[in-house]
Amino acid sequence: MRACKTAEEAGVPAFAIVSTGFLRQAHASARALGIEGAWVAEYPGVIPTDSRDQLEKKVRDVVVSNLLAGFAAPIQEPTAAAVEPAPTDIVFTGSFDAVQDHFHDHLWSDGLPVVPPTLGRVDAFMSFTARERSEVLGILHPEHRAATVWSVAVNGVMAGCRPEYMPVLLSVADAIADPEFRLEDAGSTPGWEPLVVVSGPIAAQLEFNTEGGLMRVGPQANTSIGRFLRMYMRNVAGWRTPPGTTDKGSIGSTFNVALAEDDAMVEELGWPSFREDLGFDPADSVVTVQSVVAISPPIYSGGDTPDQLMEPISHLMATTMGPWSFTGLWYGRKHPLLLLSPAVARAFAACGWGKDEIRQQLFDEVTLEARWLERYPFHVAGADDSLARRVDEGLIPALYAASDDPERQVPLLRRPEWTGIVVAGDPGRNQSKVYVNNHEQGPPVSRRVVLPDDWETRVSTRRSPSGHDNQS
Amino acid sequence: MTAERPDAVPEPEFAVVWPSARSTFPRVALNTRLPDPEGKRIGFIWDHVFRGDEIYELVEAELTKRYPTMTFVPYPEFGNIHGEDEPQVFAALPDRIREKEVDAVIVGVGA
Repeated sequence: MRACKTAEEAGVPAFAIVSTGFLRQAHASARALGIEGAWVAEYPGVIPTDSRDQLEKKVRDVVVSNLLAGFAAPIQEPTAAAVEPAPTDIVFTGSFDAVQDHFHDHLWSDGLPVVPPTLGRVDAFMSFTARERSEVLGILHPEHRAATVWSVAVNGVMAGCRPEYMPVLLSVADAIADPEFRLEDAGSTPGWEPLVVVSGPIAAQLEFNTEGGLMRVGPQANTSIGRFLRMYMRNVAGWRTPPGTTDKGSIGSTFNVALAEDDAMVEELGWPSFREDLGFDPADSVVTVQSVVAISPPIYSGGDTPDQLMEPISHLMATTMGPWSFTGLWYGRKHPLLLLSPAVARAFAACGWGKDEIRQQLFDEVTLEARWLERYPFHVAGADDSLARRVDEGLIPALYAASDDPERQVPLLRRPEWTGIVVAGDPGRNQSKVYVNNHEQGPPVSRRVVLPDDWETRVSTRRSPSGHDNQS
Repeated sequence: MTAERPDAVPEPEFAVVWPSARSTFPRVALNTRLPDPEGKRIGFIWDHVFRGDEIYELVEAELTKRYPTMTFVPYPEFGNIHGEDEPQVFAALPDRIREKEVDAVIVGVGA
């Protein structure tokens, strides 16, 4: 619908062709883009599974008729915008159960009980930032709402965060508000889910779990910050699963808990931290958000040579990325994240290997048969692709057309440095995992965590979520 | 909901705020459509997925049957609106639309 808006702004009427399953999203997008009433001509059914005969009949009998109806239709006046609450307005008063019902009814909940966002609770979060509550971090799509500092605090409360998480929450919201993140694509059919990665001293201060089971729900920082991000995308950006109208993730997955780097282990290895890889200072705490569309099975690396250790990592990264990697060629981005076992990292380090060597070997070894990258687009979108044509058009390197053997291995990664490596997990076991981002949708976007002046004092006297006073 | 008990402590009430934030909806005035399609020039804009090449070919043939003087600007003239150079294509799109002097565009394919 963005092209429709561009055309309307350029002075010509636009008519969209959209298949049945996407009509509600098309109308919602049109509303959000300010072109409510833009004409949408339905293609009935699911395009990639229609035969040629079915497609011809549907276009002739239905699509063209819908277009002609649109040509003749008068312009409808847009509906008046509803009056919405001010940030500190009390929108509801009631018992805990009544609050849950109210929030469910208004699609403001993720289906789990929420902490009631009272003014007192929200103020406690606001006390951990010097930023004004009305400050706008960015405009979030698809509902074009202003991501304010206040709205971050409200959703942090609801997700079960602690007030001292507020600086991290602000960095998370800042990151997804960056246009580079392409939040407008968060409702696409692959159903990707964002992942928060925390690197820096704040991970220990807030008691993130960086060891065994770190990607499970349980520890408050990992869990509630992960939950916050999905809740913020729902309540402020407007990505609501059915009965909402915007999210078209065909299957999707649940929210990711926040991933935190094992800083002590990285220091022991003598490797640069994840934040240093991204160009930040080692003293900084940094939040990175990226999409995750696929997660590898457990990757156990045995042996004591780099080649032995790399063998399963390269293979399982390749099989996890798989045919969907054609999108990396189409859209020019692909950013897998290797969550590397501390034990395996230690074995690499003992061989004199660091992250650069691992990244380079992944770049060289993560490959797939060319036929999959050419054929899978047919299944996704109804058209085969040609690597040779893309090479001819200068879109991808010549090595993709080095031969016409469909079984030849071609690389799945675009650049070595686009593979992130975070060391964390069970130090007593040799298991890693790979988190694959969804090409240009949700590339890694990072923000330094800005702490209040009295942070050290306040964080050292807070009540620990594990039940222990930090001063005891 | 909780069941009533004679020794129950009254449950508190919560006064809560809105979890969303103000809308910044833009408004774009829609242009007059094509009540008289005869002789009009239609541009095809495509995201290069979901068989738009087949669909546009059929749409053009059908519209031509109904309006023999209608003309068309094929999708390659506008670029791929969902490719690696999407930002550049979108930035250039208003000028392309004006240069091609189209009366309307058909945009596809959403699926």
